[in-house]
Amino acid sequence: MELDWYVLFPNHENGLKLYNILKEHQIYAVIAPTPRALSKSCGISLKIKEAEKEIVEQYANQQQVRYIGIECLKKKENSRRDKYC
Amino acid sequence: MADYNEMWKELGMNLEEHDKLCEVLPQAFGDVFLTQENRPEAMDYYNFVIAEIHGVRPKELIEHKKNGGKVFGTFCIYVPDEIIFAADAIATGLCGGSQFWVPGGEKVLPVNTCPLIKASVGARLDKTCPFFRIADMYIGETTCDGKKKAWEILAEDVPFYVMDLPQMKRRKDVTAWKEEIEDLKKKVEEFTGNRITEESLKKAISLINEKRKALMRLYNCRKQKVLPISGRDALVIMQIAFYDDPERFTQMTNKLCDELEQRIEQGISVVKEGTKRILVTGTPLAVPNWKLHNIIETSGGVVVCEEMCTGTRYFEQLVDETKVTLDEQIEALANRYMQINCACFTPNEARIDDIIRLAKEYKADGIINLNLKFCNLYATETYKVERELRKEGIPVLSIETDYTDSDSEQLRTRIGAFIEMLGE
Repeated sequence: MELDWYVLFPNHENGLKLYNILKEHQIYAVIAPTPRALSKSCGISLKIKEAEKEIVEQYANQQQVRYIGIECLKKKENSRRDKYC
Repeated sequence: MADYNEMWKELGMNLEEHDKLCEVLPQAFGDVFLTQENRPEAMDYYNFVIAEIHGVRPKELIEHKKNGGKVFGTFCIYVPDEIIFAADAIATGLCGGSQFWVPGGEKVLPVNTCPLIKASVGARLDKTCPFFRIADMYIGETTCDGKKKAWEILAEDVPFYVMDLPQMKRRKDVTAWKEEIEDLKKKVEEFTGNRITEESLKKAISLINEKRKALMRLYNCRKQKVLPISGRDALVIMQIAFYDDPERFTQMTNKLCDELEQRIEQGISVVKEGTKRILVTGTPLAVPNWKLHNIIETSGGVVVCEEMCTGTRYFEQLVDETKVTLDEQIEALANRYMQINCACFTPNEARIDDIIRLAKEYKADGIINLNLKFCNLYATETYKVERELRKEGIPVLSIETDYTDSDSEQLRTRIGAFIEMLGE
């Protein structure tokens, strides 16, 4: 089963901080809206690669980025779903 | 993942209803945008804006109000943002691109009103959009009958000012529009308590022109054979242009363009060679209406240009920055805004000329002419648009749709067949 991994944050400031750190170190990260299944609050999360989960955690801890956790979801994005807002 | 509930509560929003929108947005955004391969890295900024759309920017607007500033909500690209920013106020777009708000609009409007108007009214009356709650005053215009009547309903709920847009483009109409802008200036000055000066207006004209130039740069990248960005991504950028802080938006869009231009140089395209290039024309696509672009781009085509209010009409002409006096500056504004070619004007041949010119500039293989259901003006103009495009030998498909998902399969079939036909 293919999984998507997300870093969740208490606010966008910490999300952007980690995003910039990861980009600086050429680690894959994509800003994404936080999936509803992971949190009822809205706002940003970071999609990362499973293989880089540990290094992402390391950078977050080293650089004192506040994050709630790193969680995964079954990959379910589908461009042909045709369910719009 | 911030908790904005407290802020929304203070704005008097209906949290329970609003939560239904928050629930579907991440999945819809993920489906449409995050499934794309090889997106430009700088798109992350726009991902951020959408993820925080009812959070970060509303918070900034509230902060501006706390410091004594005013916020004006606008619906149409004829309303000159320059006047608002020149009075140290902020202009913001108002939500209107989701089916989520339509039933709220239908409580007070006839069902056969276009979804854009119904959604706008629904978002205000149902208290489910922070921008509609934050704006101290709305500025409407007379671009169609549906809007004119909807403004009367909204004006019972919120301070409302209407600009009377002439519907012809004779010299006297441009003069009349100049007078309307002068009246708007007085209204904005009175409401904000701030005087608009030559200096402040000059600065505001430059601010908005810079935003237009950044969008021109973005669209120029889409003219290239090597296509460095998808239509979906370009559309969401255009939509964000209506909401974001203009200076930041310009900076971030120029940053994206640096990456896009580099991609062009390196031959990095987001689509395979031979993908059919589609120009879309017609009624606006307000955020979060991504349906048409998503269907086109998952049916073998790629959107290269939008001849729409959420497209070239928004940025194609600049305001002359050489004018010195207020009178000359306002005349320059009137001249610029009256060059926009909306179907509310008669005659409106210039729009057809625009479509043909843009089809050539963007190397379009075909055109999709979109009409939001019940927009009588654009629907009626379809006859002449189709006829003139056929004369030019440009394939065209006209479709009518709304914000619901119910016709998606049908649209996929029609659009897929049209794109296939372009290959013959």
